[in-house]
Amino acid sequence: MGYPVVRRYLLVIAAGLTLPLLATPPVHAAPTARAADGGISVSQEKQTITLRPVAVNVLQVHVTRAGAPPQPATFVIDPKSPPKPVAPGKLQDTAHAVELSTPGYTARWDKSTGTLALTTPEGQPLLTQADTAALASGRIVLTHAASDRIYGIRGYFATEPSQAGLLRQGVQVAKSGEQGYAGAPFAWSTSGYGVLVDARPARFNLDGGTLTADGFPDGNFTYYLITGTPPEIFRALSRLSGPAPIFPKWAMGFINSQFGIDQAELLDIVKTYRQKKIPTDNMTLDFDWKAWSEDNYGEFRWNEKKFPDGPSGRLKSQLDAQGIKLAGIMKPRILVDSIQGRYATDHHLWFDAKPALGDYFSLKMMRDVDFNKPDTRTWFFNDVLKHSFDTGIVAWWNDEADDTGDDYQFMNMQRSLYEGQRAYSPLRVWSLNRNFYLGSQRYAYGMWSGDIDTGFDSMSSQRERMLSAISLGEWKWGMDGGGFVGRPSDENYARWIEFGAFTPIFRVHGSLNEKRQPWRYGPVAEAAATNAIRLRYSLIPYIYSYERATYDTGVGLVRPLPFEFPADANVRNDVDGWMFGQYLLVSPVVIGGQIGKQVYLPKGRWTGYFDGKVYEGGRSVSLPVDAKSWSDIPLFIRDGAIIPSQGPVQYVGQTPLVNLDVDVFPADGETHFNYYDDNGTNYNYEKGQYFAQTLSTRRSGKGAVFTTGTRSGTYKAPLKYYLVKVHGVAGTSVAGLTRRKDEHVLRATEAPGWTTGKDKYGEVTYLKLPAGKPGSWEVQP
Amino acid sequence: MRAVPGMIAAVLVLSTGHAITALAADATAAAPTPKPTQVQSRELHQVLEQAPVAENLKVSWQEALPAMEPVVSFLACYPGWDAWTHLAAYQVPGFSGSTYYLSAISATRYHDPGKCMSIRHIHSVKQRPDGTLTFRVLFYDVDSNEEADRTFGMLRQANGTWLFARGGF
Repeated sequence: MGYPVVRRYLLVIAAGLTLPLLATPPVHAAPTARAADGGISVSQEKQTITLRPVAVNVLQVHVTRAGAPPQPATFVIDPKSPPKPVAPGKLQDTAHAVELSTPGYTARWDKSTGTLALTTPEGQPLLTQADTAALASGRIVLTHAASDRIYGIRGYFATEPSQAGLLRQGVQVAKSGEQGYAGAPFAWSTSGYGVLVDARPARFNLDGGTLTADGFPDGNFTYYLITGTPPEIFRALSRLSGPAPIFPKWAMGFINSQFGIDQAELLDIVKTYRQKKIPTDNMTLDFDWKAWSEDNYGEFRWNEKKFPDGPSGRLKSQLDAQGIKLAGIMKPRILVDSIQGRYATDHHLWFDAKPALGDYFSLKMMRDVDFNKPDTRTWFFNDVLKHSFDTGIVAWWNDEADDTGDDYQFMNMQRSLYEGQRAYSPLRVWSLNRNFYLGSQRYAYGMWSGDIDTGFDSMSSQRERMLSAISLGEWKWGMDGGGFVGRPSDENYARWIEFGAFTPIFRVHGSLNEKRQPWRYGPVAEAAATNAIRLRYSLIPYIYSYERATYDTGVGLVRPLPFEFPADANVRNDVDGWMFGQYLLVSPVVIGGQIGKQVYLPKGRWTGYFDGKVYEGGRSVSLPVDAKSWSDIPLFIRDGAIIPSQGPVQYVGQTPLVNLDVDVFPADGETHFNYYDDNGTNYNYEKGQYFAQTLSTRRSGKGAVFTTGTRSGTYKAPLKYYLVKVHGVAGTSVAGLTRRKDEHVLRATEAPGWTTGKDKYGEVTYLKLPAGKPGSWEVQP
Repeated sequence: MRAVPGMIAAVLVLSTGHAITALAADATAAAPTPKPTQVQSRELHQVLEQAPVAENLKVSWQEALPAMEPVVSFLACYPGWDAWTHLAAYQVPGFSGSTYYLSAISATRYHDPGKCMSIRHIHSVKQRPDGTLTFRVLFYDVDSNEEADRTFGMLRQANGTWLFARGGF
């Protein structure tokens, strides 16, 4: 439970009684510190502070008030895998200090001053905690270099001004918040550290070189100091908070959400997508799909008037044949005067602090159930909903659970569906939710930015919303492409689709009866949008590999530039561009009528994705923008790139992927890509049923080397060959491979080989290599 | 004990522009309500006066101001779900409750509920084809730096006054 209004009054009264006591500086005995149990144990008046490494780059700090019962971890920490102490590399207790070292940091507790200093192994200062006494009043006070840039903690709700971008300063509240908000009790810096507080909500104050977190008046709390590069910090965060399960593979594609629709129109839309060869994988249905606020579990079953073939499964069969999955809206409220309402009353499932309210859609009295109650979570995935699932509603669009003031209501709503579906079906879970709090990612939890306006201003502000959410651990973010409120101009629609194609969850949606299909916006926008959607589908092998990486490493597809280039002062608060995986930088056009755009490219060599033009980074480049066709997407390939792609498909899995194109741009240093695939539908990957192989490349003089590592996983992928395109290299020989006449012959021949040619990037050497087998091939110039 | 719910028929204009019949919230005990400070009242007045209103909406805006100010002021302070049961004088006749109402304070976690929230600015002032004057209010709490954005809709009455047809979501 969160802080319902009445309860909060009691808290305020209690705080009012307590604060005067806290205002008088307490007299503390000097803390005493000693090495103990592989960590540092500090005692100060009525409080014990235990510092232990729980990973090579994570120091757990556990503060316990004397006599208080142990504090259970919040859902911020993965309950299935709570952090366990690891042995420090070195633990030394001297007269002056206790010092603990790991390969990732050194933590030194100075006995005379009671100061904790966290440094890199090389001794570079990261964080200092000098105000140990503050812990007694429930405050964590850490100092750092004033020049450090701090990220994380919170995003933005749907209509909030977002000019602050990615950087955080001043008072910042981590909460799940209202629609579009994302929160995590987690702040991090490109200077090499992160701070995770096991709390919900949490309040930070970032004041120059001081980071304060408070809100633990009972004096029992745990926090984690993390060190490393941004990827290392996020890997640790994922280990602590739990990994995000892999979404079904279809979710890498295009999702058309629609409000105000029936079966006939749904089928007509799908038919048109297929006729026009515009790829799409999912139709998401609003209130229309269900018998909303009708008796006998109307919120969980099909609306038979609008979708007559829903309950029988005939509609599902028709859509399955066309490669379309359905997602359905779910709300946290149910009809009070109904079988389901009486069940909720009898079993005490209601959200007590929120009364029954007249529903704006049905005009009947409805009330939220409380997903924090285990009985509610068990009940919600009930037999009626199971029938809807069996007959086609295979994904969850959870809406409006963000207004109770409870930071777990939304998380636990999706948790209910996740746990229910996993117990019932082998199919992977997908969901879209309107807010986020750290921990939610464990339940296959995507989020979207809420009911946003149409227009370029609203669209451009989605960039910082996305990058802020990602900067605190929600890698699965999407938006109502085209905007929810209003109708976008044709140009705005086209540009929005291009933007959406480079976000983690690629979808469109609008308010009642607003259509968001490309053909509704004129031929120019339709052509631009279609090209962007097709480009997205060509990159799905690349995208899906990052879906796996999110699960493994806590680092996903879309990365803010400070994440990839932490030392580049020019990108500290840059939302204009972002990395799409390790190897593509995109900077969509977000201004109407624009005829030119400046794009900053970080240091290094970059190649224009569409024209092959080469740029030296570390500066802004000027690009023309086509204000008539709206078809250009500023997209750049990073030196060293390894980018797998596939040929045209109308939906994910339409045809088996037998030959995988891999564009390679060798750099002087070796670069890698972890190619990944699996069956895309179930959780067998948890049991090792996947295909994974690391691909590597590097320049070698004027030639290049391409290497395939040992494959892992037991999935029998249909993949036979990599068609590797080594760009910028005109090979004369490749040891161990037979030369073919040209690319066409190479592709047509059912055997490894190589050839040369030219494409938009210039000279290219093609290698046809057996997938799944380790090897190394040197292209001689 | 909660009072027996009073189900009050009301006319609500949805974002779609359709007039429909709605039901009010359960009657709940009024939560304790702080009063705005003089500074907050003055800020609200200024924000309303200086709202970014298109030229063609300025007459409507000025006509609507007398009802806006007390309503926005009340909603900046009131934490419960039943705010509109206390604002009957400012509602379209027959409209006794908003199914949409969300307290601005409910969006906060660290706001002191013994104080009112402040108003940062008014934005998105529009008039829909059905005549509804809509606008958004960005509430904020200076101490916790938390914000809440709420949408309101008003309809012109036969006597030239403006009353609320929806508010707070």
